[in-house]
Amino acid sequence: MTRRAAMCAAVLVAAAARCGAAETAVVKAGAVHTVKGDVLAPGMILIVDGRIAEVGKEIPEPEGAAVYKAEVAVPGFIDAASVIGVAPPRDEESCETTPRVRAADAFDAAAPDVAAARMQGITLARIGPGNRNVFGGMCALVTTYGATARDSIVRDEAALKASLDPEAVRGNRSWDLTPPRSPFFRRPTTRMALVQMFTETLERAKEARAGLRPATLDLEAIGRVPAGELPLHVYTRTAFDLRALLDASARAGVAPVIEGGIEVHRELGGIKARGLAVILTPEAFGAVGALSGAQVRASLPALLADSEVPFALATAGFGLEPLDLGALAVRHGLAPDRALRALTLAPARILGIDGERGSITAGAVADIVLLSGAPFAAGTRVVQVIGNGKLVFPKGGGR
Amino acid sequence: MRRISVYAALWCGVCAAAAHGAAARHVTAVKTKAAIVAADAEIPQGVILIEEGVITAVDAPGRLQIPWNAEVIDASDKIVMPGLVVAHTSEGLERQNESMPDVPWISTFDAIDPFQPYFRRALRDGVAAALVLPGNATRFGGTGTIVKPAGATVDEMLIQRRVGLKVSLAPAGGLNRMGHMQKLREFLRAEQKFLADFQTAKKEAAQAGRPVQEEVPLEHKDMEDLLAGRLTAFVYCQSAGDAVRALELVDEFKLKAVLVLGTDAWRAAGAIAKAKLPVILPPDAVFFDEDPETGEVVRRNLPAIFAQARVPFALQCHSRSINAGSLWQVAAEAVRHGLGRKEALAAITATPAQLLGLGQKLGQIKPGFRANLLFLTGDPLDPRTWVDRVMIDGAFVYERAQDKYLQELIEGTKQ
Repeated sequence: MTRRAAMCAAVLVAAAARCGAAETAVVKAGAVHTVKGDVLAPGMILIVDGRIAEVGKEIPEPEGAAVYKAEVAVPGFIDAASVIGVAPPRDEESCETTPRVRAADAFDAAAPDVAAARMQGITLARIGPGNRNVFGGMCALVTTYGATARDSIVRDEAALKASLDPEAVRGNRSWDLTPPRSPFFRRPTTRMALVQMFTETLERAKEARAGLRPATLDLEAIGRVPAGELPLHVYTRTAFDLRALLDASARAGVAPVIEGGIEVHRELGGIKARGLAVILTPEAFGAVGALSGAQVRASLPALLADSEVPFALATAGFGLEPLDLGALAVRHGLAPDRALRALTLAPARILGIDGERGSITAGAVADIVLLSGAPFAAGTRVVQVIGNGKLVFPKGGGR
Repeated sequence: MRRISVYAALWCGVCAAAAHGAAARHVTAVKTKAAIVAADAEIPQGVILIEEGVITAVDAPGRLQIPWNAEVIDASDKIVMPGLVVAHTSEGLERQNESMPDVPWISTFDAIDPFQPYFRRALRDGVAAALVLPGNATRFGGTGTIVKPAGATVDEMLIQRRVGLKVSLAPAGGLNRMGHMQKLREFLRAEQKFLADFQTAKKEAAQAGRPVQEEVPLEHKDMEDLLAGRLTAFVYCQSAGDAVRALELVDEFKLKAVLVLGTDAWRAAGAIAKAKLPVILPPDAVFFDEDPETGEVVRRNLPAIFAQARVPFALQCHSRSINAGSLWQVAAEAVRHGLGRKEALAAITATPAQLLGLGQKLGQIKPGFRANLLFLTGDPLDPRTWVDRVMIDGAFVYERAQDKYLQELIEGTKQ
């Protein structure tokens, strides 16, 4: 049904383009990786008013259209766990449960790391609070090419961020300890309490929503998760955290997205059985020896692909670009087309925006990256980035 | 009778083998898919001859006769290149710095821990020689040691002791840059004066017929060699300002020097080029930088900048880094964003070998060079390529198939 609607819309904009009233552009590439469908080699993309109107081997060029030529065209990369535009500190440390804190309110579209992300081919990013709070706040979806924060924000409350990482415990002290040894007088102070607070807060939120207990603003916000209105992204660091998450989320009746993904190979069965998705960050599979006390598996992306667990590759501020992330995954056994999917359509699906983004299909937002060669091959780099139908790199974006 | 003759025949065979072994030296011939003999030269299907751990010949198969008694290593599906050379690392040490600021007389030889994960990772990534120097948190940090990343003791790993002396211009111990520079100069001048006084005293003693102390006391030996240019100063410059001051210092005290640069020091590339000093670039050699005035974000490619300035440079990596964990990764990143392939390959082989004073022994596949070879599954700058085997001094010290840690790392996949 939606597909038919999209097709109709595409036909309409294509018609508008031929009339010459709309802003049009054409991408001609040696290969167009649509990701949702086939690879078209050669391929063309017609863009009308910021949307993809038509994709095909040969499309008649409207007069006056901007033409971009490239070796390879792929969908704009989607970074499902990004830190851009939000200056640290990213943890509201006054309290362990701050679900109403919004990353969107701290986003600076003019920050240099936003420009850097754009140069790397990232067109959309999920930004969020850090990993120090049990319920840390609201994640936002932002484009990397908006002139202002207002232009960039696609969704200001896209997911609730939670953490079962012992980082949420570190440094905390209870009030009755004297003399104070740390400024963090707050719970939880043990891993036990971390899991208990996670489980109980979800339970209380459900009760508040059912009218069984007074609804605070915080509980109302969290209550949107079990009601199915808001995705829950939970950062975990070890298989231990994962087990706690699998148990607690099953009890609460929610299906969280696993962020971080360290040691997911040790709980693959449980994750697959529950149908959960994973946002893999470089610390889970990228650095040999960078993580103490946890098992790094370079083959994680390949293992997840083999197990048919939906997963995205995300940067998490580690300095690896999407092309590097993909190359690393390919080096360790993932097929290149799966790597491309994990940087585009897979994160779009996890973030619930795959109707609009993450693929080169008629009706989608025209976020397109032009590469110098095959994705993840030696020497392949980002040549141009098109955001919302306009060239945003190299040029400095909408500013 | 029959049994006796069998034994006799066997015995004759043993004798013949022994005699043969004494007469002819052991020769190894390596057949390759391609031999990258130097950064700018590649021989398709090149054949390499090795005797006693040293390369004796390398050429195209039609132009080289493989001796009849050679042990042939058939690597005709592998690309073979020289073992990588690390010009500067402070990894692999138990602790990187002494807590006192001026300790030129100490040596990393005494602190290298062969079981640090660094060496395991370096070998897996194709490093055949590494200069381990003290860290950057001292003024005169001590001398370095060149090792190969294979062996259970430092003695087994050792290639050369007392190579390079670490000097750091990054302020340490609560001083600011002015104080730090003043202390550096004072120390150098005090050493100069001590050495001059020592020579005078030596001359006077000889003239007066008193017993002569020939050698300077041990704790002054390293500074004497540094000031005489027999030891190279590896000068750490965190910023461009540090680099300019380092050039002044080198000029004033007539030091033989290599500059070890931090990410900000590239702005001194022009001055460094004029002084004709080689540099070692930081692991984060390609990075995003913001112009403080216009706010424009650009991608800085330090290797490309120094190649353009015609400054010889070596690359560095940091094994615990995710984006600059190995030399090939840093080189490939620089090439992707504009550095020439030759320059990149030179910066991880021949150039660092020269900075180590082993330019005629390491970093190329040439007669007379050590037989340090990498057997690669593909192009050295392709992220999909693996180091399949590493040969150091003619013997295999690493085989991917036997690398248990790697197998664990890629568990569950077919490689």
